[in-house]
Amino acid sequence: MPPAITGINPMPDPENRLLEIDALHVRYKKIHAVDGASVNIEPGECVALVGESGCGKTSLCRAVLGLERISAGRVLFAGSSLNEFDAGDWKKYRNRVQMIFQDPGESLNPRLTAGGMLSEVLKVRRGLPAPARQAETERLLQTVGLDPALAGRYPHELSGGQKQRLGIARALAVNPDLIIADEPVSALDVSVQVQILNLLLDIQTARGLALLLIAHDLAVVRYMCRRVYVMNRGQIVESGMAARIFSRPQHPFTRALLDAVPDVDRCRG
Amino acid sequence: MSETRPPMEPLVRVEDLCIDFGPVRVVDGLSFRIDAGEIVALVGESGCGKSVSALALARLVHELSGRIWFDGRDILQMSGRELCDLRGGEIAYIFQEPGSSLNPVVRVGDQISEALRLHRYRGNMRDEVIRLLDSVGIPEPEQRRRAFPHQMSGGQQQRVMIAMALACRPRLLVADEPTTALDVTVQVQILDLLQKIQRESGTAILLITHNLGLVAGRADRIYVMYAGRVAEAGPVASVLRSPRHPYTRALLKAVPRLNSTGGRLPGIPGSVPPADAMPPGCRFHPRCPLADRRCAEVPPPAETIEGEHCAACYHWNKSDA
Repeated sequence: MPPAITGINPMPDPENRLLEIDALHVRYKKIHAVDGASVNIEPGECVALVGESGCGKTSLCRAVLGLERISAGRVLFAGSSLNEFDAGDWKKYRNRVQMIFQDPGESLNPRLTAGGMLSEVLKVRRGLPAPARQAETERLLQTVGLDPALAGRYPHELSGGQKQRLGIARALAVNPDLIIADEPVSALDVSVQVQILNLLLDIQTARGLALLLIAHDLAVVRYMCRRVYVMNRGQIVESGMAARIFSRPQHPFTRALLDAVPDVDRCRG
Repeated sequence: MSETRPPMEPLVRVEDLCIDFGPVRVVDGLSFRIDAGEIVALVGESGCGKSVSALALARLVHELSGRIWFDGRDILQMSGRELCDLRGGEIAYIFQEPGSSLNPVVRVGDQISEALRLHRYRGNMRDEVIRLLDSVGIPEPEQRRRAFPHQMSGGQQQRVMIAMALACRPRLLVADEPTTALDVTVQVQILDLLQKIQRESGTAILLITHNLGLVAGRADRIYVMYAGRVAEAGPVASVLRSPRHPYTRALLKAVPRLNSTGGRLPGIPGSVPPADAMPPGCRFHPRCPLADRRCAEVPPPAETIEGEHCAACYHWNKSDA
């Protein structure tokens, strides 16, 4: 038997779940990438999924997004199972769940300007007419702290931080309920990381968005999230409130992760 | 800076190094030194010039001016032959992504013996390769030397790179973001290994990183770079405990901590200036809370704070709170 999930029941109210991943399995031929993982997210909640590379966290997210076949188990969004979605359901679902990627440079279309990219989403996903798209694009850019004058710029003309802001704006364009952020700041400069984290926190609070943060930097997770799931070899080995997990880790893997966090204060008095 | 030290020639001495990429000056008047057997950290964000400065130590960049001495020899005066012996022989490098530094179609043991052969190793090649792999913590080195890079994990690949770098017993090992692509638990193992090498064989290490956390408790001295210049330098404990340059202070404040309890972290406003549009005066002044007119006009010289701790800031003794 895999080690049991420790800690308090992280989900007191099953009625209120936005996303419920129930004993999810994702298999690629011989590899069991996700091995019975269960994760729940309430509306407006910021939850972290941490683990090392190859632990299955990306496969789990891809399954939630419908990009990977679910081998066994269920993913429920607002009470309905992804397994039973038809084409129309998927279309609606993709407006409610959005993704932000690690490398903002590679997830943006190099041949579209910042404004063009947002405008395309607004047209295809929300069916807005051209004049409304213009105004909405400006509003989105402002929301993420970008000067609307940057609308004419191509991705290569933007800094790493600006590109990540644009990635966030693109995710927000469809008014999602859940954003999955896969290592959103690990490719950014230290001085810019906090700007992006603060932006995500502001947006999350202002819009009541749920955020699933995938990260390996536990200090970032501590800063952002109320609840944490720790994943190892396809399984959730520990979950619960961030404050408790970080002060009293139960699973040896969680302890190893915590011990490995570089401590800037090590030689500060 | 070297005046305050005993009159011993450091292993590496760099004075007023400038590096140009065409019309763009990416490193502007950098001076630093590395003593034999110490760990020196060069810390800064992307584009600050830390990597090219390290490459300049073995004259691996063109268009440089200034002076660089390695063990008292001026490397800008060296012949091609001398440089070949210096590179890989006395100065060895390891880089961020071990996967892209290793040859994918050559067994790792053969790649290590190639380094030995190039530097005219006379001895039992096979035994030496096994010894090197063993010394960097590769289990079953007899078998693993026959592995191809793709059969190894990222951490193991980096260990092979380190073994290769150590093959000629260099006096300086330059580790350029050696753990950035690795998992956090592996990161600690690799850093421990580097520290062990420094302690046991007396190899000096230049550790290049953007992560201040990696430097704390490991390096002896630190140079914090911003936009091609040194912002602050000194003994690690002194710089991290009482940072004087507003950039160092802001960086330390902006790093999320495990033990932080709530409270919003202050980011540094703005972003690093592009290399072709550097602001005049102090390059940090557009983002600095203490900046005044002088900062915008004249670049501040390095001011000594205490002992070897110095900061290039007019306002180093003011609080920015």
